[in-house]
Amino acid sequence: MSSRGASLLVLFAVLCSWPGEAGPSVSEASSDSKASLLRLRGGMKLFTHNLLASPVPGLTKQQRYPLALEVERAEIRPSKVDQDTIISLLERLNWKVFLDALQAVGGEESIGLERQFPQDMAEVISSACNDGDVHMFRALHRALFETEVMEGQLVCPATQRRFRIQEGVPNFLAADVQGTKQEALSPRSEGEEA
Amino acid sequence: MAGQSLKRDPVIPLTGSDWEHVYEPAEDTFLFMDALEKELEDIRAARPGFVFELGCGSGCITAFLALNLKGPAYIASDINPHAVAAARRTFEANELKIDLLNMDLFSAINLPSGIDVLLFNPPYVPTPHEEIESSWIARSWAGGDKGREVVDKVLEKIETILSPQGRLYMVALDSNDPHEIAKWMGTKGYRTKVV
Ligand SMILES: C[S@@+](CC[C@H](N)C(=O)[O-])C[C@H]1O[C@@H](n2cnc3c(N)ncnc32)[C@H](O)[C@@H]1O
Repeated sequence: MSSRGASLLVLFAVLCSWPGEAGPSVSEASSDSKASLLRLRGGMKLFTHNLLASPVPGLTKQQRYPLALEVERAEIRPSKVDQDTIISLLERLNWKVFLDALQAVGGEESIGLERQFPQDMAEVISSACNDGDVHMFRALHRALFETEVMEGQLVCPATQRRFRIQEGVPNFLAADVQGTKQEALSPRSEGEEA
Repeated sequence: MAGQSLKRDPVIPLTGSDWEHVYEPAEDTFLFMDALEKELEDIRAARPGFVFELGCGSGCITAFLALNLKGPAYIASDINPHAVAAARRTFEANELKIDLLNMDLFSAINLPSGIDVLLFNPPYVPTPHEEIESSWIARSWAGGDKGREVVDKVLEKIETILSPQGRLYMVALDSNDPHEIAKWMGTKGYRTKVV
């Protein structure tokens, strides 16, 4: 099909040494039973939003992060809580950015949580990691992984340029990097049935 | 450990016309999945929290790993909007909740703590530079000079992309000069191995 002139392929891994890290304790939770949801087509998770920054060239790190979030439609899509994942991801979360994103969705109540998250992340970590507070894990899971933005906008903090979240996918392609000089740009008009 | 895996292959719900604009899983894709299968226990033992696929195309590599390694958060990206739409259907068909981003390389991502496992089956075919931007589908294979133009953009900044114990799985052709890549990565303190 494609006009590749592939001859020999070498698959190789570039890696630096993995120190024998003593991670959090066990449990590979997985009962591979069929998920009960028929429609799993997801959106942008708040966890993902936490990692996004403006693609506008020439901005400093501080200028490009975080992207303001404007939500037109969000959905809750239940999934299984994995405490290990949450612990390992908490470390890389910008808590303030997360709280702001949650407000953009409508706040704790709007996603079915009774308690407000603490403003201080240290409190969250201590109740989740030290006290093994199951409710905290569930709340974090709900907010970070089950709350999905289907339609909305992401706004560059420095230039106010807007990037659309459409059918759950943020599109960061700028007009001048659209990639193709010949083809018309009708990104999602095809290949999107069902 | 080999031989006892309960490997699950992803369902690919894509057909003929989809491959007009999206890279159809090919020898390199299957090689990639085979290698991941071999590495699976090793990857699991390292307890990655965050897995990212750059240039996911149909999405089948990420789907394969996500089906066989539960736990980490997964995100997949591609510059080609058709690929993003296709990967979305693949994830849905496999009942996977994986976020997709339509972006050029890592242009819209901020990674203070890095990626634990980065998967990249890049456009690696040596071509004239202009070919890279000639069409969406050309972007899936056209790698410019030595097939390294896109690859090198990633490798140049690899230390800002991977977490301290992070690893990158990538396909390279002989014509991409993998030994030179290994040497170069060595100067950055990375170990390289062929899987
Ligand atoms: C060889 S294909 C691999 C597709 C799929 N991962 C597979 O293995 O079947 C390379 C993919 O990288 C994507 N790609 C090329 N340049 C890119 C860039 N600058 N940023 C993101 N993705 C890119 C292409 O659109 C294509 O989907």
